[in-house]
Amino acid sequence: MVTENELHELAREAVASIAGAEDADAAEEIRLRYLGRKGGLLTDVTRGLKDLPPDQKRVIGPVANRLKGLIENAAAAYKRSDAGAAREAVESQIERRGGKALLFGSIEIPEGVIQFQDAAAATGSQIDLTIPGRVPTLGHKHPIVQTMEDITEVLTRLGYTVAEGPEIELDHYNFEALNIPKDHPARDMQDTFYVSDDVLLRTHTSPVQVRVMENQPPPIKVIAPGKVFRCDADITHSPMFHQIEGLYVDRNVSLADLKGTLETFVREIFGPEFRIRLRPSFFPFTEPSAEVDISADHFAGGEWIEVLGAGMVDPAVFEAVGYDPEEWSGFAWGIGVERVTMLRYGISDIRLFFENDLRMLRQF
Amino acid sequence: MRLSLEWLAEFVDLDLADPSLPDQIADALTMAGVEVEGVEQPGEGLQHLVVAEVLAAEKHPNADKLKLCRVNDGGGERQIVCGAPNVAAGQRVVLARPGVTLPGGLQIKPARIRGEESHGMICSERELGMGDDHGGILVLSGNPAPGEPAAPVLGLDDVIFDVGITPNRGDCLSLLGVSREVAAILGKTLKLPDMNPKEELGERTDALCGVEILDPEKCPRYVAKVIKGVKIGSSPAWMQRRLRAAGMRPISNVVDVTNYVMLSLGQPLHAFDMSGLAGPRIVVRRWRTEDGSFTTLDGQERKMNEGDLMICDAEQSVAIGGVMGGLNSEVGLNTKDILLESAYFAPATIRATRRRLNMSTEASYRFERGVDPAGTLRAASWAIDLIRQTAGGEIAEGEVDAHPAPVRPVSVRLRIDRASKLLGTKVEPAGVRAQLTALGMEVGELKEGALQVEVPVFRHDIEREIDLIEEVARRMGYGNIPSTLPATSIPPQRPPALRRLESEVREEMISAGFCEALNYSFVNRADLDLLQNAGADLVPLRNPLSAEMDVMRTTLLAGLLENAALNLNRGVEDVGIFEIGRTYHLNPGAPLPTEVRRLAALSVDGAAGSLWPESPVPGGDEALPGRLFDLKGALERMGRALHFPLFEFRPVENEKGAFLPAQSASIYAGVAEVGVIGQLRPNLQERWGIRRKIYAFELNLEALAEIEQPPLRFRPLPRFPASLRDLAIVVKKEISHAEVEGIIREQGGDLLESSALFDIYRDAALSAAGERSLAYSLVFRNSDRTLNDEEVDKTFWEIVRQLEKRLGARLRG
Repeated sequence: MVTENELHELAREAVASIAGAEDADAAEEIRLRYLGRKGGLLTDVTRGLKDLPPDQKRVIGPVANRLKGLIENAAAAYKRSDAGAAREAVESQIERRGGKALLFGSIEIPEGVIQFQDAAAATGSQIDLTIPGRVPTLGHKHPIVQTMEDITEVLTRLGYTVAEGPEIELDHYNFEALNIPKDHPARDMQDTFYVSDDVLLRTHTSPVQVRVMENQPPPIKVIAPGKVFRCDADITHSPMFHQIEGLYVDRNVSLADLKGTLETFVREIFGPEFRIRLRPSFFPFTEPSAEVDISADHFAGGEWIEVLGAGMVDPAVFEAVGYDPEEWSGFAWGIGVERVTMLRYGISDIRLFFENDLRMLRQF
Repeated sequence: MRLSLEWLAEFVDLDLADPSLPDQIADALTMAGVEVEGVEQPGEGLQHLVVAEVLAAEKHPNADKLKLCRVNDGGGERQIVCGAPNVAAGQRVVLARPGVTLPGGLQIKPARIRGEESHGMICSERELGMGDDHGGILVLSGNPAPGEPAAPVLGLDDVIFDVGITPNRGDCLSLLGVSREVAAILGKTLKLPDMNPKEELGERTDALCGVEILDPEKCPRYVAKVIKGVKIGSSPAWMQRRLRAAGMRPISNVVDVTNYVMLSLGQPLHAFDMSGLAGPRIVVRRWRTEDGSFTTLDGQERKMNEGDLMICDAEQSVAIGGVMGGLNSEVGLNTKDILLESAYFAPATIRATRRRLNMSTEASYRFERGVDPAGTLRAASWAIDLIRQTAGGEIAEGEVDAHPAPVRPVSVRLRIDRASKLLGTKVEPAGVRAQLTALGMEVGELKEGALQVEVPVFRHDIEREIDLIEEVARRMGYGNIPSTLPATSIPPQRPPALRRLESEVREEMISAGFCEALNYSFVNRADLDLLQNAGADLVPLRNPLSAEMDVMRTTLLAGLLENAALNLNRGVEDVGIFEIGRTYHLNPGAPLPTEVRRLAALSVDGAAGSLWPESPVPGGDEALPGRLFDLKGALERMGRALHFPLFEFRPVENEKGAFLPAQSASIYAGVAEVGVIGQLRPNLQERWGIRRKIYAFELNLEALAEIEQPPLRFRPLPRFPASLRDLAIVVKKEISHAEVEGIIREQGGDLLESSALFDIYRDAALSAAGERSLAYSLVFRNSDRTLNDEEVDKTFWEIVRQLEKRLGARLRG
């Protein structure tokens, strides 16, 4: 026979020990101590209930049942290695009122009696956090696309708008309108894939310039990124590669403006320590034309490295699209994306870009 | 083009003793637009080689193929064992003494070869880095003194510039042209060798031959000179040295002279053996059908056509004008009398012919880019005199100079203000005058802010004001142009919608764990056939790089399959790749083929195990392919992220294509079919040597972009609680999830907030009956009030009843 006070004492002890259980095994031991079929401390109490007078029964019964539930829930939670749930099973039965902690709303628990084990210790086993994390599969952008996006981003900040055009082009846009007539030796500068006499795979992104100018009046500030094709294949030449073309047309645009724009652009892409150098060159659709070299002390042994071609839009190109070259002037440039990517990351074979070996792609 | 510094110094006053000169010249030329791509010093590493005289060469006592030589190296005699068959007493040779290291890395040491001492090595061309000839030692001509350094004798003390000439600067395809630039940049004087013939003793040239130009447009000028009684032999050592330095092989005195003058002045010349010319008479005309084919001096038979310009004698063709001479009039060992051609051909006609014949010669290369129309006679006179000097003979008096269409110099007005504006810096008239004059132009007085400039005829690239402005900029140096940023600003516009879609889709695929691939746009037609994608809309290339890349792709799958195979072959197991790119389709009636932007992704079954197991795949004994559902999941996630209407997956209607019909589905967004997903046909596995099952999808991004998307609006959060019900039914396994869910949705109506498939189950009994169980968790909610159990139950049971009635389903007990 227990008295109410004895039951309360039993409850205090039971709650304290189940809360402080170190692991599932300890919790199970505690459970058996109180709820074991033979000699369980609480089992004995519930078994004796039927012999109690009704008023005692009403007081002892609910407390014994709630205590049983609490121990079972907490032990089950420990078994699931869920220390949080075990703690919850205990704490949900404790009310705090007037600065006191009351189990089942009535049994006062003195300060410090309930000491929860911390979560890891409570589940018993140590976690080896040197084991590699469970990494969600990581996808990778193709390095060429990455470079293209970087370049596009810089130029967009400089106020350029992206324009696009077909990859299979008319001879007219790829050559004629760019001041490269059929019998011009400049056609040999670019080995062309033909689909028919007048249809070809564009050899540069410059035809987009012409299409844009045909479709809208000046001023114009566009870039045209995309695939281009030339009939050529070796370690530094790929039959397909990527270019970004820039075109700026307005009143009073000068070669000095081109120089300043390219300086800004190169420093954004390669780094602020880079210098540029313009050398006279020849492109049929620009005049004056320039090859642009870059250099920096730590880069390519301080040598000048050619990275892009540029120039002032040739008046013949303006005439072909119906702009008055006396009123409008402009500049254009084109940069090879593969070349920039190779320089940036130290890649020496252009063919690697199109093999798509995942061991390469996953490095970017 | 290769240029020798020593030769350059003959045209420009240069201080060859200045050690910085080669770099100065290289830099100056490059910055003036004549790019020096390389500077070679062929004598490097050969400083210690000397000339030696072979005193005796006798058989080695212990070896049949070796010779025992005694040579005089200037300081004394030494014995050398030599294996060359051509070594002989009396020769002057190049000697490497012990202690010397040759350019190839070979160290010369005293040695004992088959019992005989050898103190050095007699060199062949190859050991000197001069050529590939290893057949014997190099024998020096012209008796140089033993002990003299060998490099200068060989012309190897020179500096060779390798210059790249842009196609507009035909005038720079010669020593004279480059010299003109060097002189102008370095402020030196241009000096020309004396090119006038000294002795013209023979008969009058016009009595010996005639010239008739029938097509003056294609041939505005033709000069013929004649020399009789030449003796063909080899050209002098100095000329051979210069030709070699320029990368040409010496052939014979007459041919070498024509090449030498061409390299010097840029005017291609052709020497005919007069005995091979009928008439003798030269007729310049277009090819005619009755002429038949023509054999060029390289022995090739060429098919000509009506556009080609032929040089003919009184009876037949003897040369393809400006491209190559004929075998029938080639100068040979027995040639005595020579007719020398120096002509100006129109660039376009030469280009057309040589392109069609798919050949390029030194001559055609220069004619195509424009030679000096005023230099025709000068080149002929100089060459004929050099032939006399090197091959003897008597020069006929005068020349035949047919000049029906003289090329006139152009006069161009240059506005100083215009130049300043375009270059972005102030241009001074006095400076411009000096710069242009140094380039051989005649510059008039400044009038109304402009200069009138007369351009010499050799500058074919200058016709317009802008051409002169470029000259001004070039001469100023681009380095002296300031840097500014354009003042005006144009408001930037949004990128094209399709481009935005491309980059959104890319980010989604990457965040779903796929790697991006980029493949060539051209593929093998046979592969498209296998992929059942080679329809009538195929775009073939006329001149593919190889048969493997002969048509434009109509699907991105060929490339991805290639990538998967490559990776698996290299032991990279976990293949999950995608590509965003265009496919190309013939569009009859339109000027250009249609280009369609697509997204394709591909994944291969059964990648090797990783530390963390893949999530378990549902489906009981008929496990679903996890990889395929990874692909589908990526696609669904992408659709959700981009707020597209929910993708639907319907049975494929078209049984053709790369996918197995029963293991694939058409992808619909709203009413539009946007792609296909599934397992690829096994013959593709075979073709690419992939043993595992391959899954893929391909999506038409243009179709996707066309789907109307309602503007995104916020939906208020629910204020009333939801009621949850689980529903587990058993259906025939042919019934798809979509059919079940369709009925659930339809019957659930507004009350049903969501339904989610959470279990697929199939035990032995269900399997045997051809059935499976599908379990759904349903969420019911009303946004205006709390639902009561009766309403929810009513709807729930209605769903069950409809499933029973329409699909033969039953509740799972």
